[in-house]
Amino acid sequence: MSALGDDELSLVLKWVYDQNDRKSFSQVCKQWLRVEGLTRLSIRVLEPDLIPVFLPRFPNLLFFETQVFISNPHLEFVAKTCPKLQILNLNLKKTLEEFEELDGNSGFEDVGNDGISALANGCPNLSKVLLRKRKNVANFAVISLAKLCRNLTTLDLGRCNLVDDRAVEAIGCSNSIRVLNFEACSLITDHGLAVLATGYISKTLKKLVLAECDRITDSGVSMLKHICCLEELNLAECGPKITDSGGLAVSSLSSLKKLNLGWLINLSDVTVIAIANNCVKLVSIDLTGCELVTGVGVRAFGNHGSLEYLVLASCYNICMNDLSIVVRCQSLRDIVLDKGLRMWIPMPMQVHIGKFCQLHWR
Amino acid sequence: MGSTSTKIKLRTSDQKVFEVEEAVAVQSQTIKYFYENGCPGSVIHVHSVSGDILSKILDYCKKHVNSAAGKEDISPEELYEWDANFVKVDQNTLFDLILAANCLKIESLLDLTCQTVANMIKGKRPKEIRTTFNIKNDYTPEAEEAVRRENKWAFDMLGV
Repeated sequence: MSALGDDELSLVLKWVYDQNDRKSFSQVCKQWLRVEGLTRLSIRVLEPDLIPVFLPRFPNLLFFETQVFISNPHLEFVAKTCPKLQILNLNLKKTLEEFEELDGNSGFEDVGNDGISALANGCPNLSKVLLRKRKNVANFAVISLAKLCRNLTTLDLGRCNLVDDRAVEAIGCSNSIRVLNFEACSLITDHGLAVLATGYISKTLKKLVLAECDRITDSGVSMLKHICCLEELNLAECGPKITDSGGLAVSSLSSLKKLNLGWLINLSDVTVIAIANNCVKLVSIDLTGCELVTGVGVRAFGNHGSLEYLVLASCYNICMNDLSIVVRCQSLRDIVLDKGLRMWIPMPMQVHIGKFCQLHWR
Repeated sequence: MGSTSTKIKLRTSDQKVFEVEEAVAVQSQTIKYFYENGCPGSVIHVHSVSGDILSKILDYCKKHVNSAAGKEDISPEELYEWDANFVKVDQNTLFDLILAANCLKIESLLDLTCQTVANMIKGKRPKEIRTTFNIKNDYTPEAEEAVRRENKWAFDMLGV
């Protein structure tokens, strides 16, 4: 029989997409195992402890994912073995605390600065790094990524609550990051926001999540207006120190498409009206729990040209007449209202709204 | 230049000589390179391809060139069917076609033949694949079990 060489075998394998088929392929013989390993671009690791055993098969990986705990030495091994990595998804399914409650596994060492900085050093092509809930990740890891990975475009540090303004300072110098998530990084202050608004990153940043960063105030939020091409901003649950003064600054971000101001209890109609008038590209706004907002503010969206998605859950000061004006907005497709309002809005009115957009109760 | 009457001479591994229309022969990027960079009129050696295989490959190229040039009235569906029949050959021939298509750099034929082999792999267990292609299992039982276990428990694959 004419045997196919590694080259031809890898060309055949290009047409085998199903992962079970690829696994079967690798179990046929040693050559097929080698070829499958060399051509594999992505992996989701279920048992990080076995990384030293199987990972050397896959030196050309571009995409590495694991949702469970992984130690620093194991990630250092990944960094040495897979220098071409572009996407690193370490978003954790559960937090350390949740695991501890489950099985008292308190002594476990999850990845922190050493593992991440080894990756930053070993994999210069990293473009997307997701580290949600990796509680041991702190400033040093973030600074390494920001300094060494020149193509970094997405960085998710959600719930990495050791990260503070020093990490933000390094990120601010990046001229490649477009998506940045600091959800619940509650050590970040107005100084951090000022750095983002004035650094190189202010020219590239498109999406910024600051939800639950509850130290920030109007003074930091006011700086955000300098991020010229920002399309998506999430300030949900940032606390009572954000008022209309910050809200007005946000309304001057004319490139905004998606805005979440959920539970900012000191924002009022003044902010909402300014947003409706100035953010002409806005597609989605979430005002959940903005208690001061009333129908007066919401009516301003009645002649907005692009808004599709309006969330008013836990907003109680909105009446039937306000809604009949809001639905004049021709682009509107979905509106979310508090379920407590349901009994106050007569059925004919609900039917009327339903003609213009989908009505959801929350 | 490019006249359909121009012929290119090809000599195979078993010393058979083929005279082929230029438009057909240059479907192979390798031949095209040698044709454009070699002496005019000289014979191009295709060392790694036998006469039998080259003859089949030239059939394929001729069919596709003629159909693309509108010389032959054939619908895309009919061409697809013709391709499907073309690769209904014994396994040795199929593998020889892959090796030749790869070495002559004929991309569409390489895709067609590799896809055919891939389809023979899909849905089969390792053992069935070995039987299908008459491949010797060179794993020790322990090594095979280790690979099987890793594949099962240690990792998953994401979309390639």
